[in-house]
Amino acid sequence: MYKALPRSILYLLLCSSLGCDLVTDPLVAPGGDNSGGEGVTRKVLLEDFTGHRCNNCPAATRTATQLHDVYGEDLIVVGVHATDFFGAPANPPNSNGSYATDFRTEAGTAYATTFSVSFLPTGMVSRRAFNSSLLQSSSAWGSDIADIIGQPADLDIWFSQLDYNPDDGTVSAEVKVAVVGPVTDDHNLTIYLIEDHVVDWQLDNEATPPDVENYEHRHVLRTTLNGTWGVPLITGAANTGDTITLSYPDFAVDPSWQPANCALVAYAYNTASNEVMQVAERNFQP
Amino acid sequence: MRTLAFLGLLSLISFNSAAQTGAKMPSVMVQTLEGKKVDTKTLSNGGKPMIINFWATWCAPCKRELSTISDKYEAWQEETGVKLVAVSIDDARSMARVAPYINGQGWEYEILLDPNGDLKRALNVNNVPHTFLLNGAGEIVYQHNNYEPGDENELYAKVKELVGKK
Amino acid sequence: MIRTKSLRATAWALPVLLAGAIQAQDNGQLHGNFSTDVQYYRPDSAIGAVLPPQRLAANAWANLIYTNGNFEAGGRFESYEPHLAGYPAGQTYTGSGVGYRYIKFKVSDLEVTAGSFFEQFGQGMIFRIYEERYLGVDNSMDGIRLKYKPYRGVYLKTAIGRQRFGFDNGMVKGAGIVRAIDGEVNFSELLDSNWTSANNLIIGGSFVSKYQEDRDPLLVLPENVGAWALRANYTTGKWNLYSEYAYKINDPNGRNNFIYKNGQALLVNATYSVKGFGASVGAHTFDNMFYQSDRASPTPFDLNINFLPPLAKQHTYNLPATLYPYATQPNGEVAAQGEVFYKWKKGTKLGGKYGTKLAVNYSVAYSLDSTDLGAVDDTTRKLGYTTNFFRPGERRYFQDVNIEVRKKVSSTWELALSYLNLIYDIDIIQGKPGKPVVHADIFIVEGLHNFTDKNSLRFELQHLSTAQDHGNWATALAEFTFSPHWFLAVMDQYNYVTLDETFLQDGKTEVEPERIHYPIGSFGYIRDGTRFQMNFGRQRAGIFCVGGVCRQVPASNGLSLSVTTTF
Repeated sequence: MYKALPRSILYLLLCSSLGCDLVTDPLVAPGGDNSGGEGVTRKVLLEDFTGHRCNNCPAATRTATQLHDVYGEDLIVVGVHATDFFGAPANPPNSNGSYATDFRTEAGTAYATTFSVSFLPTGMVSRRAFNSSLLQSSSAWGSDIADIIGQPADLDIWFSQLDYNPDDGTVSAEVKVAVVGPVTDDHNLTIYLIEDHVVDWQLDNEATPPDVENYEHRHVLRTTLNGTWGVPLITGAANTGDTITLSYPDFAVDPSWQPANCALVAYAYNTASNEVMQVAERNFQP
Repeated sequence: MRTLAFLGLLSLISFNSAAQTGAKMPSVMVQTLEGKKVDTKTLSNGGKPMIINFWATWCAPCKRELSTISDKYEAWQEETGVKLVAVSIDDARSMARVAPYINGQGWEYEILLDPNGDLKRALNVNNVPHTFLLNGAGEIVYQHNNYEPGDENELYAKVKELVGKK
Repeated sequence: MIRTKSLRATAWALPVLLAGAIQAQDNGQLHGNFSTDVQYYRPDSAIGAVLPPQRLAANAWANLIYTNGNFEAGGRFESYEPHLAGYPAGQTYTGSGVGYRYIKFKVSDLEVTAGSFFEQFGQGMIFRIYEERYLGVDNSMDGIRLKYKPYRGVYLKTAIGRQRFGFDNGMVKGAGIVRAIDGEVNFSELLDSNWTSANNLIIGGSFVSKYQEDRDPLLVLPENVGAWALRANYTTGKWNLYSEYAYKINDPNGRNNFIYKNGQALLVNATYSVKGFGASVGAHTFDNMFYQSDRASPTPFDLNINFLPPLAKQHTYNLPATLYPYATQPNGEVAAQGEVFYKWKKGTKLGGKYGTKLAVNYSVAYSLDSTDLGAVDDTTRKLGYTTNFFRPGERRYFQDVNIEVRKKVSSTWELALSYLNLIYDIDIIQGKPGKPVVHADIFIVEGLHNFTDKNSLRFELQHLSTAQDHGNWATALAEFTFSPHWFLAVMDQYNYVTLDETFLQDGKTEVEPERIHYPIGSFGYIRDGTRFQMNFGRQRAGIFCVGGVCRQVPASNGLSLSVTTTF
């Protein structure tokens, strides 16, 4: 009976005047140029705040993976496990040992506190505020990333050296930052050590049963090489053509982390606005 | 700076009795149980005192207050001619429950519905129960927030004052 | 940051100017209210109490309204330095500033509001802009609203603007633009200007549309999403029949996994009441009815354009209200409720000397019968799932059977006895997947004893028994009042767990979970429109749910003070 209601008449009267978009083809036609233009372009750092006891989080991580398929190496995803409610190990401990691992990090907890993260999943796209909010739901990540990626960049970052020494379990890295456009604000550089494909428990709304024992955690933030908020990179102004080199020799890698899955992520951010202006990633093993 | 200006103004107002007396009912559209729209500025009791009481079906002290007064209402009306208008702030969730509830209680009040809180906002009510007493000229002379058993006696004492009785 | 310097200047200049104005004018009136909740937190690891680094948190609001004839202006100053833990439900509030301001004026039958406003069309199924300050819900519109009455009995409303989204030293607005129009015809008023009878027919219709840019790289998103609704209300002296239908076009959003299916809602309600007896029965269906002005709204609490109420009794007693409250599932639910109120008059056998009151309520909510298609490719994403609109699905989300009998047993004693039986699918409602459905029985005894005209004691004993979730709870409450100004209350909630929850620590030692008491004391002073209240003790963690996603309000221990005043 309700299907027979004159929807079409109402559409003509109101929709055409006030606007209604009926979409017939939901998916964007594949192809199209997703790479940046000429010169150095901005890559995006997507920090996916997640927790092993957050049942809605895997869906957000899957969105991040889909976006990574679209943008490739221009999008760098980091999974930041945080909050007591979702990230802490099960307390009291479960008899089967599930959710016993603590994926939280000092840095991750500091970011969650500073940026008022309490509701998961949530994320930050190059720590830029969209509609006055730094925290973005996964449904907004696509549009947010599209706004930044491929834009001309003022900084170029790359790892000129990255060697993992299996004998003493240390990694040595050298990061170079080239100033390719005018920079007039203070910037810091932070380096993450992340580990991909970490297999452990995860609560997943879309799995049956929801307790998944062998879930593959992606891009897990393990530690920072140079402190939660990084080290000063540029103070005041920097001239186009300058190159800054930072060395991190013999940083001890926790023996439980798989070097084959590890990578370093370096990002430069504006200390006043918090926005990540450029980011780079390099795996331990190519 | 902003804070100081605002707080300064607030203290100026709260302690300035000239701003408080003589307030009349604002003009807000509420509705009766039959859906008829009523402009609250037109509410009157023909020169006699009127009580405007904000309540909700989910507010236990509100129901207690109106229930206690309902036992005495007839006597109050006889003695002073006072009228009690009970404004329910029940929203879409519980609005349908208002008519059966008041009938199930046997209340004789005039009932008005304020489902989106427009009158509540216009009279600056923070939470329910909240009662206003208007004199014959429609001016607010007394208000009381919260309800504890026995509060209706203070209210009625004020009503009697208005009609010149002790 | 959406902050305009001119707005801030006006915001504080306006009241200062008005203060001067009222001294000169005697037509103008300035009134307002003030409310604050301050909390000092103490550490309490036994209950996992939250401990913000600031240790002292305060929410404060001050409203002012100036009226002069047909002109009105108002504003609200808010302060969260920081906000209380667990507040608000959605996007965070921080800092201090003006969060709400407007001017309003009437020109014969036209009313114009410029600035912030609240509004509701019908029951709010496609448009309800409202605030619940103490829950932290405020989706106020900032823009223009017009109300016009072209003829007696005909009411038109239209609005355009953006919604409030959080608070950061001032109002912050959401991304989408909302446009709305509503028309209502009240036939009794229309046909007879001296209408006094209770018979009436009211017909209304509304159309709402939102606009938001599409910058998504993966999907073609509709930028303008419209919804319309029709309603009819028929009343006689005893009956009141209400029905409303709403339809929403494709609205892929973060809450429905970006499917392009349309949304529908139908609500019907009938009540019958005569003196001494009232009955109400209602049912509703919601299908894909989340409607937020930002399709990527970070929480289900922010930027809602519509309001879909749960069809379940809102309990006033602490245990059923805060442990297992039902929350509407806007993406799909079919629900029904029936209740009866009856009073046995004094003098009758059951009525006794003073009369006896009975209230019986039944409500149930089911999933919507639908077949998920899994949004994997173009076609299935468009459909999302197929559904039989009004047919309940297999999963029962909630059922509540409750009965309350209230009786004044002597001139100084009043008693109320209640029984509730709850079936609560905590997996869906509170977002705790894998947890079994909670079956709970609740018994409540409430008594009120008047020592004298001014002094009284009210007590409550509540008991909840369940074999699921946290197990059994018992609550005892005693409240002493010294009318008209003072009250003092003590309450204890005890979770005396009877579940087999002993667990093996380190695989060896058997440990029993702690049984925890939550004692809290409060006292208050009230005078006219002003109220002071202080609480001290442990506050149990609570749950606040909207549409399948729940936010935990953390447990806390400490001292809290609340002050409210109206002037």
